[in-house]
Amino acid sequence: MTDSADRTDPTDLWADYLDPAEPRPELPADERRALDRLAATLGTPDLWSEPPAGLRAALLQAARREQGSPEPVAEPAPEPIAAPPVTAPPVTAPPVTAPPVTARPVTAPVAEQVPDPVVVPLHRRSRRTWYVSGLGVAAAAALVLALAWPRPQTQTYQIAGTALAPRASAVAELETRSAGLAIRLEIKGLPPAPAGAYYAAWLGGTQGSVPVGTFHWRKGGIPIDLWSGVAQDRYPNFFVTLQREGQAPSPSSAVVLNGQVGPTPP
Amino acid sequence: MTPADARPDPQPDAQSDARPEPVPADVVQAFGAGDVEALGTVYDAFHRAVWSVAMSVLHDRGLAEDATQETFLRAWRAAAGYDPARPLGPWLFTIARRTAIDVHRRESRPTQGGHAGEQDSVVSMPGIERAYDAWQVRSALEELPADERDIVRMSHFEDMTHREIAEALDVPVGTVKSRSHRAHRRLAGRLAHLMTGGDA
Repeated sequence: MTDSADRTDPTDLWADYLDPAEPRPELPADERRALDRLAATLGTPDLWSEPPAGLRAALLQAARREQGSPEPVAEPAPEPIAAPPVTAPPVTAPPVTAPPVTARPVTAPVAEQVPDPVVVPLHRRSRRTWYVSGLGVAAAAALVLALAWPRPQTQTYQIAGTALAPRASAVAELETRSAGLAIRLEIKGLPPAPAGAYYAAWLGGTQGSVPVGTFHWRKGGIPIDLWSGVAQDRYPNFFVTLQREGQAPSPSSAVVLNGQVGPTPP
Repeated sequence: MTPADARPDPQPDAQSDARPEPVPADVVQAFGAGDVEALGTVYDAFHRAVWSVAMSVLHDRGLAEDATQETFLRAWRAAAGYDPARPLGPWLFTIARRTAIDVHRRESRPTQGGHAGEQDSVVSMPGIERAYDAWQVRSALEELPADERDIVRMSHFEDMTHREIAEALDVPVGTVKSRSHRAHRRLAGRLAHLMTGGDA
């Protein structure tokens, strides 16, 4: 990738060695070992995984609670989305009414005292309590982040897990691009697809369903990039199904995620 | 860089973390004074690196959530004693690693039988030697432009060729090649201290 004139800088050699698509240059053994280790780290799923979006809000809420500060008010969480019947194909299922979460920005009060440096053992607290009580704040923080993201054409929607995957949820970012509708999906709580199966994502509307991509979620932790050739204003129902290999290429009845990413059709 | 087993407890210092402080000085001061908003800013700057340390040690998202939140709470509680003249990153890494170890020990402890002390002494943490690498590499990745970081992820994590990346991103292969080299060059430069034996 680099010209010979650039070779005076060892960084170029290291870059070529690190890049899996480039021929590996000759390097001293200790540098090779170091670079091999770096490359191994770069290929680790743990390295690329992302903390859950609600963690920041939960952290700040816990800190405010310790301080005794009033907690910011968040709008109530949206009504849970009713899971479609497992036997009813999502193609014909009526679109769910799950508009994007709306919430007001979080405003944090200024601390009035230095916190007690004594460390409280983590196991005394209930993670469920954090999440239940922080759900509204988490939704508000997620929307604030989405609104602050410097991509004016990006729209963010909350996608809920169904009865088949009640712990699953996702945030879908939709962006209209020249090639089509780019969908970036950040999933939480969805188990990996079992062997012989995979997940398929769809956009559905009154005219049927259109596939927008498949994934297995066996490594997890990173956003999934999907593409759609149809617009969400005519196909406003976004859902994810569990598919069996060899099955017909149409949505199965096993819907695991479901949400609305456009206007509800009349 | 030495082998993992020869580096049981690395500590990043100011030299190995020699890069612009990602948190403004006034925010660091407010953090030291217990400001919750400043805690949020510190979280924004370091949460991915802390998360990677937790995941590298614990390999479990639920436990990593606990460890990440506890890391920032511990740092916030102890920030009054933190010297704002020193870089925040190495201090946070130390707390993150210790917290992950604590969470691991807590989870490894038997819930019955009263042998907690014995169990603590034999607990093994195969990921602990990777925590330092995880912190360094994730921090370096955070400094890359998003388009370059995406290419590094696709190359190393998703095992995609330049041609596959070009198709996925809808850009010419030549663009992917140049971005890839630029990204790997930035990474190598940022992590040069690991290449020249300056582990910590």
